[in-house]
Amino acid sequence: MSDTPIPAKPSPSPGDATAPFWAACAEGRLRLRACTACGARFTPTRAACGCGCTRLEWVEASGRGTVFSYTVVHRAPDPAFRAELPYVIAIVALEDGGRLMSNVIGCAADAVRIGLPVRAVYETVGEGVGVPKFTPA
Amino acid sequence: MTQSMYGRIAIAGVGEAAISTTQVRTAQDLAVEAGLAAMADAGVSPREVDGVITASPAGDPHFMFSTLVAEALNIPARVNMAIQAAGASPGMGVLYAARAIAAGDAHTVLVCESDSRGAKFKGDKIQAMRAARPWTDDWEDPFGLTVPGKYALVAQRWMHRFGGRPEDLAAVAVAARQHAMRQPHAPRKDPLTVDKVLGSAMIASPLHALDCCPVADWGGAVLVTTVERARDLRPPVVRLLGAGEGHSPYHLADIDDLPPAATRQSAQAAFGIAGVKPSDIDTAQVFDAFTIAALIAMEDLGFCEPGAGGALFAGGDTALGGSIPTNTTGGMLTWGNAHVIVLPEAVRQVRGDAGINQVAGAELALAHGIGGPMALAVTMILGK
Repeated sequence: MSDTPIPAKPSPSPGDATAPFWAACAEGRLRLRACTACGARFTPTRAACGCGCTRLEWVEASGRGTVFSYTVVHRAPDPAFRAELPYVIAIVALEDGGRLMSNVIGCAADAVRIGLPVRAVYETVGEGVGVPKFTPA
Repeated sequence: MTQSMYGRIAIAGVGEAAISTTQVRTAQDLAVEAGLAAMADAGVSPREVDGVITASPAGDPHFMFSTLVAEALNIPARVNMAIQAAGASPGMGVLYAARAIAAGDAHTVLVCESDSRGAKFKGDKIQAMRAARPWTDDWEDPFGLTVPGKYALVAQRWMHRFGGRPEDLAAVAVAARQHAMRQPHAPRKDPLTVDKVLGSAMIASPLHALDCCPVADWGGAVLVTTVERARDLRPPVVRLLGAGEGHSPYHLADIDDLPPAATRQSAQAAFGIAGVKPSDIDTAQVFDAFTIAALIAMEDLGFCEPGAGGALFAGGDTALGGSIPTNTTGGMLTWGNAHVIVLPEAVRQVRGDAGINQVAGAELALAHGIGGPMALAVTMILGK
């Protein structure tokens, strides 16, 4: 049809606290934050643990998990996503702790269910910045 | 510790701005018009008001919005702030106004919420809303998450947990429409059926177009003051008998469980303070930007068992004459995303002044706001 370029999708703008997460994704690895006091694990949206500890360390995660909830999106927020409609957004519960908002790719949208086992795959979206996506395990 | 403010705070005036579907009006103009209406309803002039609390309009954002509104209205404010609590902002505004009044920092506070999203947003409203937002969220935007998508994730989890069906959600839209159909000026008032909801375009599964409120302009305001002062103003005095807030994390993925605990937290506080139980409430006005939000809110407020929200709406309990007439205006599902809509209606119901959809003998009304895909909640119980 026309050769209007598809605009770029929004990509993360890592800050000091989250850069190691996105950098690991660019290398095909998933990292979580872990509390050095109680061992709780979470995604890097947290900078302190509920136990009161503020000393968090990075730990490697397997990238495996299950679909906690999902939706098949038929109306995109931005023209960058229009070519992929309909696409699946899911909250993935990681087996190593914490949950991530992401997409489930590599399968039909109607194959996604709550509880579906998934594993992380990674897309590099910028210099040292990757994002985790998930595909049926 | 001072005596509890509850029972000593009143809502003395309510008002709305006139909405145009064609003319673009600014959020400021809409707030000013609603504010003037609320002050006129109470019978006070701007110089008799000493506080302004507004929401932060997302479709028409402006730095220091509450200061703009106070300036335009010439209100000599001693208390003035703009709240960022999305759909919970109007209710939070009432709570902070009450706190300021109880602390002696102000005596009469205008709380308003307005936004310009209707005539201003051309074409695809979901894209227009995204384009109006000045920030990118690293944890959600790279994946193409939308506002309906957030509520859809909550809905999918609710259906999974309770064996719910899209028909349960559709029942909320049908119930809202029945209240709307009785009002000649309602923007959505053609007859609606469950099949029609399920046949409307899929937006983000399981939410169809008719599970979502229209994107619109709005302006609404309430005037908060002391019961003592309210006695000299427009009768009857409507008192804030109890209220509570609930807070969950911003990111849906970070919330421990879905639905979030925010509404259960705010409801427990409000009912405890007011010393009443859900069965004592005569009418409920709850946030319904999406059907699933009102459905879960009714469960979490205690009007039915968890999982029974669809049956509550489908079975006529929320209709006039039902056990808990709900969203008697037709709600946001009818009028557009005017979060504030719950407040003036709850006040009018208690006054006995709600017109064609008045709940006969209503003495206690509950108003419930929700913000940020159910992460924030504010519950208020009003009575004479």
